Amino acid sequence: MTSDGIPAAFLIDSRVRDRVLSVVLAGTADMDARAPLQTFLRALHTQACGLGVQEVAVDFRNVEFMNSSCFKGFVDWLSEVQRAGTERHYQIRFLSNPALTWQRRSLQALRCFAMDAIRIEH
Amino acid sequence: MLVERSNSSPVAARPASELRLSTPARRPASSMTPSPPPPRAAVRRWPSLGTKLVLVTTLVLMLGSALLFVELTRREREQLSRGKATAANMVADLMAISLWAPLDFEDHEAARTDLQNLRANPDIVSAGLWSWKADDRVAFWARDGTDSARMPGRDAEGPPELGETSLQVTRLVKTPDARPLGRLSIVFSLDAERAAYEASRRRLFWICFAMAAGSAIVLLGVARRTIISPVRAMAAAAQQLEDGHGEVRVDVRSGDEIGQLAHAFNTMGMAVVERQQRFQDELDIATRIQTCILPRDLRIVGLEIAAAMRTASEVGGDYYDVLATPKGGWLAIGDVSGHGLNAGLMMLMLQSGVAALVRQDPEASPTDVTTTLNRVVYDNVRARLGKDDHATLCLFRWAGEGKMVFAGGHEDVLICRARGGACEVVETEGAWVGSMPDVSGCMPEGSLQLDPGDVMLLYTDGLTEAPDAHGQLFGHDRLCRAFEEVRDAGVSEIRDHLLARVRAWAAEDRDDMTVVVVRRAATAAAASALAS
Repeated sequence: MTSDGIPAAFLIDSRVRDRVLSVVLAGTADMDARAPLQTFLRALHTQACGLGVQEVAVDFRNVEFMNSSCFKGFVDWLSEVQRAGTERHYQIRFLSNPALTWQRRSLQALRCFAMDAIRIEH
Repeated sequence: MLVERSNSSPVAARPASELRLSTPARRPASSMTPSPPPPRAAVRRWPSLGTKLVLVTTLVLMLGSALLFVELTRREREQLSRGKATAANMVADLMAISLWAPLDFEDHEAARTDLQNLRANPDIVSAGLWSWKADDRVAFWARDGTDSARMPGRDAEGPPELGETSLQVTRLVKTPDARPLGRLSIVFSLDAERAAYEASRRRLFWICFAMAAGSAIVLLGVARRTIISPVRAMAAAAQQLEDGHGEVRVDVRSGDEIGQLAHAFNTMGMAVVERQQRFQDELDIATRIQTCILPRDLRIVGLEIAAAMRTASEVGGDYYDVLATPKGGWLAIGDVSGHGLNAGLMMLMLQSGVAALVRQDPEASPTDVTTTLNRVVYDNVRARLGKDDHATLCLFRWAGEGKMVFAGGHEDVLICRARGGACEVVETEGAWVGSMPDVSGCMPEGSLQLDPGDVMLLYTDGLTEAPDAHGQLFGHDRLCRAFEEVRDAGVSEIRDHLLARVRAWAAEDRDDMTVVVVRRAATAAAASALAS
């Protein structure tokens, strides 16, 4: 475990640059990663609105595997984004590794939450 | 538990009594891709309670014994010194009285004789007499022959001077009318007292040591019987409880705090066992829901179907269904994101919803069915149950003539063509069911064509995400290769081969595994035989 309580096998890094909040994920997101990831994602919408960013970019390219329980955190975040409606001021971009079929499938399912606001880059 | 179904054999659906059962391996709570349980927090077992008690008790008793030893030896030394001083004072007083006359008459020879008489006392090592007027020495002797006489001062009369090895007593020799005539000094040896003191000190040391050791043994014996053993018994019982050894009791009969703790532990243990049993009952119910609701009749005109679901220790929420309709049939496969009873309930909702909607309109569009089903499931799970589970789900409608229409979001579909070639991959890109209130617009309808003899494979992520001992997943490519290896075999053989390959790969059964193998009948005669 790191000092943030995140398992060493899974890393979350975020930074803001040019009004883009970049979230870089790496490693294996299994049950050990669920709680810290959910905590991070719960605060993500508020942080993004507070920082006034135009885009939140979530980089999955170095995530080898993510289980469905971890995806629940993204479902909750995107549900909050969807509820915000016009109050939302940022776009969402998922960076995906096309070699990993689970990313293509799962990110496509997540995109259904806001087809106009979410785009997937390979 | 492994539930296998097939319609490719003369007995299309096996009765419940023939369901092949296997002992489910333990696995952590999870849904589609569980992870191993976190390791137990390392508990430092040293120093143990007994060791701590031994150390503390020994330290305290040693400290107490040392203090007692010091005090007793100090008193012994004082007592010996006091006795010696009393005897020395008596000798000095008598000698001072006997010497005043010789000194008064200046009969120094008589005085020397009197002083020499002290040699008879073996405790006296030296004696000296000095005149008052001239301060000259009248008489002196020393047992060792040395002339180390030190003349006392004129005011030297006082308590004996206690040295390390000797005791010196000084007296003024006076006439009865108190006129000073001389000064007397007698030095007594303390060898006998020192020997007695050393012997006494050794005796006291061993007495204190024996008391400390005896007390420590008794105290530790009592502590072991009344504290350490019961606590160890409770720790062992707690471990047994953790290992799932059913009801565990600690036999402690004392009425003190340890007894009360043991009683509380026993009560808690019974409560834990009851809760475990209730939880297990719930899981059993959920497992029964998941497995008993599976279709027993896999017959759809024109298709050979074999399916199997291997459940892990907790219900992972895998789902598949086969529904025959007058003009074809429906296939469904899905996986609930949660686990346990909630996953079982959601799986039941999916099954019931699909069955109702398909029976209502057997020719419905898979997109319409999944969209309507999503509304029901979303409302039930989010609004009524207050849960946040969702499910991957893909519905296939067999329209006959090789056409399969589908909608939903689940694992890719794999197809091995009868004509040969590599395993084909068909993507399913719909939304997850139950994750959002309305998925219309996110459930694109796709279609695929199965030629006679083509085999379609539906599966859950329990296969592709099964990890080996090093954490490497079985993966999509290995599944394709394994599928290609048996592409020409019967659907039951394909099913068994795939499950066997994954089981051989996987280090543990972490998640449910579901396989549905579908082959379009090669000939009309075969299709007719299957239908009958």
